Amino acid sequence: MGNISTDKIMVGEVFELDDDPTPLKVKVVTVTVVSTKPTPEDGPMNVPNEPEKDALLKKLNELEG
Amino acid sequence: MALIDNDFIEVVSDYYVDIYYNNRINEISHNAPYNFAFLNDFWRPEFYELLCEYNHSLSISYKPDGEENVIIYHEPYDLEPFLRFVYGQPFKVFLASLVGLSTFIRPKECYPQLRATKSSASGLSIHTDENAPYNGIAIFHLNNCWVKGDGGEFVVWENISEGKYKKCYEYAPLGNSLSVLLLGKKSFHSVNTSNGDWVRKNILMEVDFQ
Repeated sequence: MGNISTDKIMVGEVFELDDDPTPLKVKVVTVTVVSTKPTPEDGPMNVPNEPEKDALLKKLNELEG
Repeated sequence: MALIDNDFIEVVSDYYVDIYYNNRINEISHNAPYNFAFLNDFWRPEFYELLCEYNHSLSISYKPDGEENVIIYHEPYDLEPFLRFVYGQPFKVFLASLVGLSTFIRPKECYPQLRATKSSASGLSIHTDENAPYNGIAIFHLNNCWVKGDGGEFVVWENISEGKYKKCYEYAPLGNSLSVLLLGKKSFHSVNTSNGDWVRKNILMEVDFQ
Protein backbone atom coordinates (compact mmCIF):
# COMPACT_ATOMS: atom_id res chain seq x y z
CA MET A 1 0.00 0.00 0.00
CA GLY A 2 3.03 2.26 0.27
CA ASN A 3 3.75 5.14 2.53
CA ILE A 4 0.39 6.74 3.15
CA SER A 5 -0.04 8.76 6.31
CA THR A 6 -3.11 7.85 8.30
CA ASP A 7 -1.90 9.23 11.61
CA LYS A 8 -4.40 12.09 11.69
CA ILE A 9 -7.45 9.91 11.15
CA MET A 10 -9.49 9.67 14.35
CA VAL A 11 -10.82 6.42 15.78
CA GLY A 12 -14.19 5.78 14.14
CA GLU A 13 -13.36 7.78 11.05
CA VAL A 14 -12.96 6.29 7.59
CA PHE A 15 -9.83 6.64 5.52
CA GLU A 16 -10.36 6.51 1.77
CA LEU A 17 -7.29 5.35 -0.06
CA ASP A 18 -8.22 6.93 -3.38
CA ASP A 19 -9.01 10.33 -1.92
CA ASP A 20 -5.86 10.96 0.02
CA PRO A 21 -2.81 9.19 -1.37
CA THR A 22 -0.54 11.58 0.52
CA PRO A 23 3.02 10.29 0.83
CA LEU A 24 4.61 10.49 4.24
CA LYS A 25 6.36 13.80 4.37
CA VAL A 26 9.98 13.58 5.47
CA LYS A 27 11.43 16.84 6.66
CA VAL A 28 14.96 17.26 7.97
CA VAL A 29 15.18 19.60 10.93
CA THR A 30 17.84 20.31 13.51
CA VAL A 31 16.60 20.34 17.09
CA THR A 32 18.06 20.12 20.57
CA VAL A 33 16.19 17.62 22.71
CA VAL A 34 16.56 17.11 26.43
CA SER A 35 15.19 13.69 27.20
CA THR A 36 15.75 10.67 29.40
CA LYS A 37 14.59 8.38 26.62
CA PRO A 38 17.09 6.13 24.89
CA THR A 39 18.29 7.69 21.68
CA PRO A 40 20.35 6.32 18.83
CA GLU A 41 23.40 8.15 20.20
CA ASP A 42 23.37 6.40 23.56
CA GLY A 43 26.30 4.11 24.17
CA PRO A 44 24.91 0.59 24.39
CA MET A 45 23.05 0.87 21.10
CA ASN A 46 26.21 1.49 19.13
CA VAL A 47 27.89 -1.65 20.40
CA PRO A 48 27.11 -4.66 18.25
CA ASN A 49 25.38 -7.11 20.51
CA GLU A 50 23.71 -9.58 18.24
CA PRO A 51 23.68 -13.14 19.50
CA GLU A 52 24.10 -15.71 16.82
CA LYS A 53 20.81 -16.53 15.17
CA ASP A 54 21.79 -20.17 14.74
CA ALA A 55 22.69 -20.45 18.41
CA LEU A 56 19.30 -19.07 19.36
CA LEU A 57 17.47 -21.46 17.04
CA LYS A 58 19.44 -24.35 18.53
CA LYS A 59 18.53 -23.22 22.02
CA LEU A 60 14.87 -22.95 21.07
CA ASN A 61 14.90 -26.43 19.58
CA GLU A 62 16.35 -27.74 22.83
CA LEU A 63 13.80 -25.91 24.95
CA GLU A 64 10.94 -27.25 22.88
CA GLY A 65 12.58 -30.67 22.61
CA MET B 1 -9.72 -24.52 30.74
CA ALA B 2 -6.87 -22.28 31.84
CA LEU B 3 -3.45 -23.91 31.96
CA ILE B 4 -1.59 -22.07 34.71
CA ASP B 5 1.60 -23.07 36.49
CA ASN B 6 3.83 -21.36 39.04
CA ASP B 7 5.94 -19.73 36.34
CA PHE B 8 2.86 -18.12 34.87
CA ILE B 9 1.85 -16.71 38.24
CA GLU B 10 5.39 -15.48 38.91
CA VAL B 11 5.84 -13.47 35.72
CA VAL B 12 2.35 -12.42 34.56
CA SER B 13 0.54 -9.65 36.42
CA ASP B 14 -2.19 -10.61 38.88
CA TYR B 15 -4.85 -8.99 36.72
CA TYR B 16 -4.28 -11.27 33.76
CA VAL B 17 -3.74 -14.36 35.90
CA ASP B 18 -7.14 -13.70 37.44
CA ILE B 19 -8.78 -13.06 34.06
CA TYR B 20 -7.34 -16.27 32.66
CA TYR B 21 -8.00 -18.41 35.70
CA ASN B 22 -11.64 -17.33 35.77
CA ASN B 23 -12.20 -17.92 32.05
CA ARG B 24 -12.80 -14.24 31.31
CA ILE B 25 -10.47 -13.96 28.31
CA ASN B 26 -13.35 -12.58 26.26
CA GLU B 27 -13.16 -9.42 28.38
CA ILE B 28 -9.69 -8.58 27.08
CA SER B 29 -9.77 -9.93 23.53
CA HIS B 30 -11.48 -8.79 20.34
CA ASN B 31 -12.99 -10.77 17.50
CA ALA B 32 -13.90 -7.80 15.30
CA PRO B 33 -12.78 -6.59 12.86
CA TYR B 34 -10.53 -9.63 13.40
CA ASN B 35 -9.07 -11.58 16.29
CA PHE B 36 -6.61 -9.53 18.29
CA ALA B 37 -5.86 -8.26 21.78
CA PHE B 38 -3.93 -5.40 23.30
CA LEU B 39 -3.00 -5.78 26.97
CA ASN B 40 -1.43 -3.09 29.14
CA ASP B 41 0.75 -3.84 32.19
CA PHE B 42 1.11 -7.44 31.16
CA TRP B 43 4.18 -8.64 33.04
CA ARG B 44 4.94 -8.34 36.72
CA PRO B 45 7.23 -5.30 37.13
CA GLU B 46 10.28 -7.35 38.12
CA PHE B 47 10.09 -9.52 35.03
CA TYR B 48 9.41 -6.58 32.76
CA GLU B 49 12.50 -4.80 34.13
CA LEU B 50 14.51 -7.90 33.32
CA LEU B 51 13.27 -7.81 29.72
CA CYS B 52 14.27 -4.16 29.40
CA GLU B 53 17.83 -4.68 30.63
CA TYR B 54 18.68 -6.29 27.31
CA ASN B 55 20.88 -3.92 25.29
CA HIS B 56 20.31 -3.69 21.58
CA SER B 57 22.80 -2.84 18.89
CA LEU B 58 20.79 -1.24 16.07
CA SER B 59 23.39 -2.81 13.81
CA ILE B 60 21.19 -4.71 11.33
CA SER B 61 18.19 -3.31 9.53
CA TYR B 62 15.88 -3.73 6.55
CA LYS B 63 13.37 -1.64 4.63
CA PRO B 64 9.88 -3.19 4.56
CA ASP B 65 8.38 -3.66 1.09
CA GLY B 66 6.62 -0.52 -0.11
CA GLU B 67 7.84 1.55 2.84
CA GLU B 68 10.63 3.58 1.29
CA ASN B 69 11.13 5.84 4.29
CA VAL B 70 11.10 3.18 6.99
CA ILE B 71 14.05 1.33 8.50
CA ILE B 72 13.44 -1.52 10.93
CA TYR B 73 16.34 -2.68 13.08
CA HIS B 74 16.21 -6.28 14.22
CA GLU B 75 18.29 -8.78 16.13
CA PRO B 76 17.71 -12.06 17.90
CA TYR B 77 16.38 -11.72 21.45
CA ASP B 78 17.82 -14.55 23.50
CA LEU B 79 17.07 -13.74 27.13
CA GLU B 80 16.70 -17.24 28.53
CA PRO B 81 13.99 -16.65 31.17
CA PHE B 82 11.88 -15.06 28.44
CA LEU B 83 12.49 -17.92 26.00
CA ARG B 84 11.68 -20.55 28.60
CA PHE B 85 8.43 -18.88 29.50
CA VAL B 86 6.99 -17.84 26.14
CA TYR B 87 7.62 -21.23 24.54
CA GLY B 88 6.21 -23.15 27.51
CA GLN B 89 2.79 -24.72 27.24
CA PRO B 90 0.95 -22.40 29.67
CA PHE B 91 1.88 -19.26 27.76
CA LYS B 92 1.26 -20.91 24.39
CA VAL B 93 -2.28 -21.77 25.47
CA PHE B 94 -2.84 -18.33 27.00
CA LEU B 95 -1.59 -16.42 23.96
CA ALA B 96 -3.69 -18.51 21.58
CA SER B 97 -6.77 -18.03 23.73
CA LEU B 98 -6.47 -14.28 23.10
CA VAL B 99 -7.22 -14.90 19.42
CA GLY B 100 -9.77 -17.64 19.97
CA LEU B 101 -7.49 -20.62 19.33
CA SER B 102 -5.90 -23.42 21.34
CA THR B 103 -2.12 -23.09 21.18
CA PHE B 104 0.71 -22.09 18.87
CA ILE B 105 3.82 -23.62 17.44
CA ARG B 106 7.01 -21.79 16.54
CA PRO B 107 7.66 -21.86 12.79
CA LYS B 108 10.96 -23.64 12.27
CA GLU B 109 13.02 -20.59 11.27
CA CYS B 110 11.32 -18.05 13.55
CA TYR B 111 12.81 -16.73 16.76
CA PRO B 112 12.09 -13.76 19.02
CA GLN B 113 13.51 -10.53 17.69
CA LEU B 114 14.22 -7.19 19.26
CA ARG B 115 12.77 -4.68 16.81
CA ALA B 116 13.49 -0.96 16.84
CA THR B 117 12.75 2.09 14.73
CA LYS B 118 14.15 5.57 14.96
CA SER B 119 11.62 8.38 14.66
CA SER B 120 13.17 9.67 11.44
CA ALA B 121 12.38 6.41 9.62
CA SER B 122 9.33 5.03 11.38
CA GLY B 123 5.70 4.06 10.87
CA LEU B 124 3.99 1.39 8.82
CA SER B 125 1.13 1.90 6.40
CA ILE B 126 -2.07 -0.15 6.56
CA HIS B 127 -1.31 -3.79 5.78
CA THR B 128 -2.44 -7.30 6.74
CA ASP B 129 0.68 -9.55 6.75
CA GLU B 130 -1.68 -12.23 5.45
CA ASN B 131 1.02 -13.73 3.22
CA ALA B 132 3.61 -14.06 5.99
CA PRO B 133 4.98 -17.58 6.60
CA TYR B 134 3.19 -17.59 9.98
CA ASN B 135 -0.35 -16.70 11.01
CA GLY B 136 0.16 -14.69 14.16
CA ILE B 137 2.37 -12.20 15.92
CA ALA B 138 2.87 -11.13 19.51
CA ILE B 139 4.58 -7.83 20.19
CA PHE B 140 5.89 -6.93 23.63
CA HIS B 141 6.38 -3.18 23.77
CA LEU B 142 9.37 -1.77 25.67
CA ASN B 143 8.82 1.98 25.48
CA ASN B 144 9.00 3.04 29.09
CA CYS B 145 9.10 6.78 28.53
CA TRP B 146 6.32 7.04 25.95
CA VAL B 147 4.04 10.06 26.36
CA LYS B 148 1.13 11.35 24.28
CA GLY B 149 2.49 13.09 21.22
CA ASP B 150 5.39 10.68 20.73
CA GLY B 151 3.48 8.78 18.04
CA GLY B 152 4.23 5.16 17.19
CA GLU B 153 0.71 4.01 18.12
CA PHE B 154 -0.51 0.62 16.94
CA VAL B 155 -3.72 0.96 14.90
CA VAL B 156 -6.41 -1.58 14.03
CA TRP B 157 -8.44 -0.98 10.85
CA GLU B 158 -11.53 -2.47 9.27
CA ASN B 159 -11.71 -2.65 5.50
CA ILE B 160 -15.33 -1.59 4.98
CA SER B 161 -15.27 -1.50 1.17
CA GLU B 162 -12.84 -1.16 -1.71
CA GLY B 163 -10.25 1.43 -0.69
CA LYS B 164 -12.08 2.45 2.48
CA TYR B 165 -10.72 1.71 5.93
CA LYS B 166 -12.30 2.53 9.26
CA LYS B 167 -9.93 3.23 12.14
CA CYS B 168 -11.29 1.00 14.89
CA TYR B 169 -8.69 1.15 17.65
CA GLU B 170 -5.48 3.04 18.35
CA TYR B 171 -3.14 1.92 21.13
CA ALA B 172 -0.17 3.69 22.67
CA PRO B 173 2.97 1.51 22.50
CA LEU B 174 3.44 1.83 26.24
CA GLY B 175 6.13 -0.09 28.03
CA ASN B 176 4.90 -3.46 29.31
CA SER B 177 2.03 -3.70 26.84
CA LEU B 178 1.38 -6.67 24.59
CA SER B 179 -0.36 -6.79 21.23
CA VAL B 180 -1.43 -10.09 19.68
CA LEU B 181 -2.86 -10.53 16.17
CA LEU B 182 -4.25 -13.43 14.21
CA LEU B 183 -3.20 -12.67 10.66
CA GLY B 184 -5.46 -13.11 7.65
CA LYS B 185 -7.25 -11.27 4.89
CA LYS B 186 -8.97 -8.96 7.38
CA SER B 187 -6.06 -8.18 9.73
CA PHE B 188 -5.50 -4.61 8.59
CA HIS B 189 -3.18 -2.75 10.94
CA SER B 190 -0.66 0.07 10.86
CA VAL B 191 1.85 1.91 13.03
CA ASN B 192 1.84 5.68 13.31
CA THR B 193 5.05 7.55 12.63
CA SER B 194 7.06 8.47 15.72
CA ASN B 195 7.72 12.08 16.69
CA GLY B 196 10.79 13.49 18.41
CA ASP B 197 14.07 11.79 19.18
CA TRP B 198 13.36 8.36 20.60
CA VAL B 199 13.67 4.72 19.62
CA ARG B 200 10.50 2.61 19.44
CA LYS B 201 11.36 -0.86 20.73
CA ASN B 202 9.58 -4.16 21.06
CA ILE B 203 10.11 -7.89 21.13
CA LEU B 204 8.44 -9.58 18.18
CA MET B 205 7.36 -13.22 18.18
CA GLU B 206 6.09 -14.87 15.00
CA VAL B 207 3.87 -17.86 15.66
CA ASP B 208 1.54 -20.33 14.01
CA PHE B 209 -1.69 -20.34 16.00
CA GLN B 210 -3.61 -23.60 15.95
